[in-house]
Amino acid sequence: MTGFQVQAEVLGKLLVAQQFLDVLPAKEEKASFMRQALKEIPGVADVHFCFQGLLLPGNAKYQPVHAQCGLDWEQLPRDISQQCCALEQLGVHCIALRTAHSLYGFMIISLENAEKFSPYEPYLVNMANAMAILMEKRELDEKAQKTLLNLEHQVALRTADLSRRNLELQEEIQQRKQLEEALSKAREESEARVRERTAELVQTNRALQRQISERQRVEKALRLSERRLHSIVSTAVDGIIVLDAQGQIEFFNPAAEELFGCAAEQVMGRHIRMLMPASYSERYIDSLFRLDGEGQSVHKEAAGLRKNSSTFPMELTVSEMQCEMVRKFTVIVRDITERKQAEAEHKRVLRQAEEERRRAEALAAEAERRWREAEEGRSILEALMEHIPEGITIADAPDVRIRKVSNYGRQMAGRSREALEGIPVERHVACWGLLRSDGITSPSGEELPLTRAVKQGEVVTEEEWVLQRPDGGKVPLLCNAGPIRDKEGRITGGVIAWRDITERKRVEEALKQADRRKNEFLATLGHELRNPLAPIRMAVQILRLHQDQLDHRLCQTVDLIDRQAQHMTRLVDDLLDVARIVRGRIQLQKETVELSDVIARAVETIKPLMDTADHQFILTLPEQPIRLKADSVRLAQVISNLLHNAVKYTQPGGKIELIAEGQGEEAIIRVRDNGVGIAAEMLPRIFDMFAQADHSPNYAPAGLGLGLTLTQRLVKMHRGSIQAMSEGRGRGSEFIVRLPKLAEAEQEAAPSADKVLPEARARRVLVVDDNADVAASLTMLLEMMGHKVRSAHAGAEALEIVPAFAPDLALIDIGLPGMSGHEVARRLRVDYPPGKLKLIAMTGFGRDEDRLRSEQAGFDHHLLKPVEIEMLETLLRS
Amino acid sequence: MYKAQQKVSFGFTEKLFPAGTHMCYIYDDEMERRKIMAKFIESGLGSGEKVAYLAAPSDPKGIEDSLAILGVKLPATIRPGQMLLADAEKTYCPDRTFVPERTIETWRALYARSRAAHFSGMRGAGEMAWIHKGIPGIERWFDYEAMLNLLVRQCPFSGIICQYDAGRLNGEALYTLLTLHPLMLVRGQIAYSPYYRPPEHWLADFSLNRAAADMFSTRPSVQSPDP
Repeated sequence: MTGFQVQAEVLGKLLVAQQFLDVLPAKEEKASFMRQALKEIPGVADVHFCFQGLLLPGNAKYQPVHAQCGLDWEQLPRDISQQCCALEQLGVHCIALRTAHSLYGFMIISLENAEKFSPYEPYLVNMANAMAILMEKRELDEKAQKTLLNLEHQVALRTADLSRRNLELQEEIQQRKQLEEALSKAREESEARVRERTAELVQTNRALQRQISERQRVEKALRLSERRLHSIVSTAVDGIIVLDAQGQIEFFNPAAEELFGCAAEQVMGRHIRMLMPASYSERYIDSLFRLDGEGQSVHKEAAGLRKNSSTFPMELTVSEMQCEMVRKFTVIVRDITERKQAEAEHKRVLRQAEEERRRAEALAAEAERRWREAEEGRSILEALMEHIPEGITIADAPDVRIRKVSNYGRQMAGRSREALEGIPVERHVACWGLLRSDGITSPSGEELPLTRAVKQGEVVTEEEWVLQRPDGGKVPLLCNAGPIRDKEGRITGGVIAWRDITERKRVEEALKQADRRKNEFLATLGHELRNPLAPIRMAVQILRLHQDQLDHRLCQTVDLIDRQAQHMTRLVDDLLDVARIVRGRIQLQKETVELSDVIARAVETIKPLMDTADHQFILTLPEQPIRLKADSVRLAQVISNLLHNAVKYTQPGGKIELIAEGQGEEAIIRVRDNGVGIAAEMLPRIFDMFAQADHSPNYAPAGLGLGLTLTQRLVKMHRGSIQAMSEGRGRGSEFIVRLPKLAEAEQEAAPSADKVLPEARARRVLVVDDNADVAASLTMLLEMMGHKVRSAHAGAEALEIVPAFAPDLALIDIGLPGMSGHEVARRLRVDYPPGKLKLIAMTGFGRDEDRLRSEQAGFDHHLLKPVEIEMLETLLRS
Repeated sequence: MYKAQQKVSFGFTEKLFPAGTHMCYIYDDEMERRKIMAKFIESGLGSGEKVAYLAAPSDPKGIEDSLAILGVKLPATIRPGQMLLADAEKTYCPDRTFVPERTIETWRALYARSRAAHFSGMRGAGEMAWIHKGIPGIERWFDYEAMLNLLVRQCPFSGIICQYDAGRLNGEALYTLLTLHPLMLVRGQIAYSPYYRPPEHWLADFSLNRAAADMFSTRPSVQSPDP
């Protein structure tokens, strides 16, 4: 027992230190942290760590590590702590950082009191083990990370290899497709050849068949001839009848039997008349068989009568012969039914051919007429394209290949006919130097109007493009394009017409520039007018403080100056507000507001004017509170503008009415009067900037014509609408404002504006403004109010005054020359915290970012010029 | 109304803390940091406090996106000026130098204005990535942390959380931060620091030996926060 016990606080520190070991990534940082943390253990003078021969920190007063330690770490025995035993003899305790698998180094503790330290040694051994385990864990994590990275690398390589193989496969597939297409084409060609060859063979076969038929006929003729040699009759093809001189039938061959449908024995010995129709006369029958000359045969046509009483056309060849000095007649009968039919068919075909010929001649005449028309159209088009002062391009479907460019178009493009005509769509952009309307980026061929017209049938109108000429000059174009269709509605091409709009662009830009300059001028004018107004209003406030010392006429004069200055301020405010809205510089400070409160505030500002004009004012407020998400100041400005407008244009003693009500999800505000009214032609322009209603001579325009413009813009910024109504001149007018109500769920009690302000007491006030008039008038006003005031015209001067004068409050202009108001505030805040000195910024800029800059510089408040005396009084009281 | 004695919720833990808590958050997980800071901001706004968050985005133009990156869900209605989001480096070093006294006065002024505006309290948190840039005056950073411990006695902020990236701290800096913050937040765990020294003690005995400049390394963070 040493007498020293373990302290719980020290153990707590060791526990927390152990928690943080894992947070630090590097072992050197772990060592650095632990060195600091372990030095708080009783008895410990210093702590070092040895990692593979590296001593941390390196400024140890001893050389505690074995000589071999730094030389060949891997070769040292496992229980290397024995190598450091000698250190313990020197008052140094050495604890190995060891896990079950590895030795990571040593924790070397220099002791100033071994007895105090000894109770904590087991805990330090535990901590050394924990530290070693963390180092091993981190080493394993790093190895795992490295393995993971290696695997990811392999996966990436494998993915790349697969992608490459995929590409090769796709190429192979593509090649196979091409081969298949080639094969398919070859198959189609061979099938075509087979068809052609088959047709040839069919023709050849027919020829052969004809030859065969011919040969068969010849052979048959030969056989017949041979048979005729044996038996003319039995082998005759035609019917053969032999008659005697009286016309009696002596021979009737089988063919005749077949022709007439009766057997030879039925006709033998009978007169040939029985084979003729009964209508044939005796004489005619005799004439049929009479010879014209000796030895000459006669061909005649007649009708034959079959046994079944039907008739057929036949050709008769009658020859006279002498048989044993007896005159006989050989009649060859041939059935010519088919020939007659063929002749009839031949006549019909001839008639049809004649009709076809006539029709072809008519078509040829029509084609001739159309060709002449087309030729005339082509000439007109040629002349048009040559002389029209417009860029025109005609292209053919389907590849939008340019057929024709007008002469003016080529000149505008600065390119030759050869460079522009005949090119397909994929070369349009490059050959023409086309750019999108931004004049910078190049389009694709598919985007071009002509392409869209030809490929999609789109009619493109008034589209802007830019053409870059070869000399680098850029020409803005206005393009119209459309498809060309044939009679069936198919797109056969397209046409585009374009025009150089450089001059129009220049005029537009000039107009925009002029508009910008006008708005800048309005803003500047407003600021410049506002500055002199501040001292005038201050002077009026000063005079009012001495009102009891002024006579009646001077009081009236002060009132007059005050009214006119207020009027002037209002005009300037309108001018500034409109300029700000036009330039997007106004931001609404929206909050939950009660509509009746806002109306009350607006009415309060206008009521004195109504009283002066003896107007009858009727105010109707909603029964239930209506809450809006709105900028209360701007909304009050909307209502007061409308009321002010009603006051201006209503005769003394007239009636003005304000009605507020809720309708569904909207709040409705109506301002109605029975004044001069608005002419019907003026109503549509009543909200235009600088618009003035056409007043009667008794009501000269009082204002710039900005009030209603400003009112409409402010209402729109509140997502509302405004409408003007009048039944005409002398019939009064009504303005209706509609605003979205706050949803029930969003409604909350509007913050009360009522505050009881403490009485003002005398303050020490420093006024800093480089405008001497502003500074002097403000100083005078504050002094009149009973405060002690000093003024300065520059930042450095203000910094000099403050220590001696010790002001409670400093009013500082932001736009000071040299050192800005922000810098003055920053420097004052070094020695004067907010409780000691109140800093108020005065400026003409009231945007959110301006207020934030003031806050960051140390200002407590941010006031807009001209500073309202009421606001100043409030700040001096608080 | 300010209730200095009232316990305050930080949103990311059920534990309540006394007003005037100054906490050191050592983080090594960017996603965890975003969740914790989002809860801290949301709970402050939800309870009607003014909240100042000093962000240190890698791109100074991205300051306006800082709350979205943290994943903060703003309440449906917040009062004008209730949420103050500012660039940490510009706030701490408006003229590119760090002056502890000036920064302390900035906090004091913010606290006073929040009271004047009748917020129910004020809390703040700052990202500290900018302290590794070697800005003149940064060697007094630890003095500033000690002075902050004095300030919260006079101005009991609902809570101030200083966020440090563990990957960018060296061992000695970490130890020193433990001596300067009574509470610490590590890997979601909140603990009292046994190494904490009261500011009077720290400023008298430690200040000269604890210059921060050489303790804050300029190596980049091991974190890779999403843009």
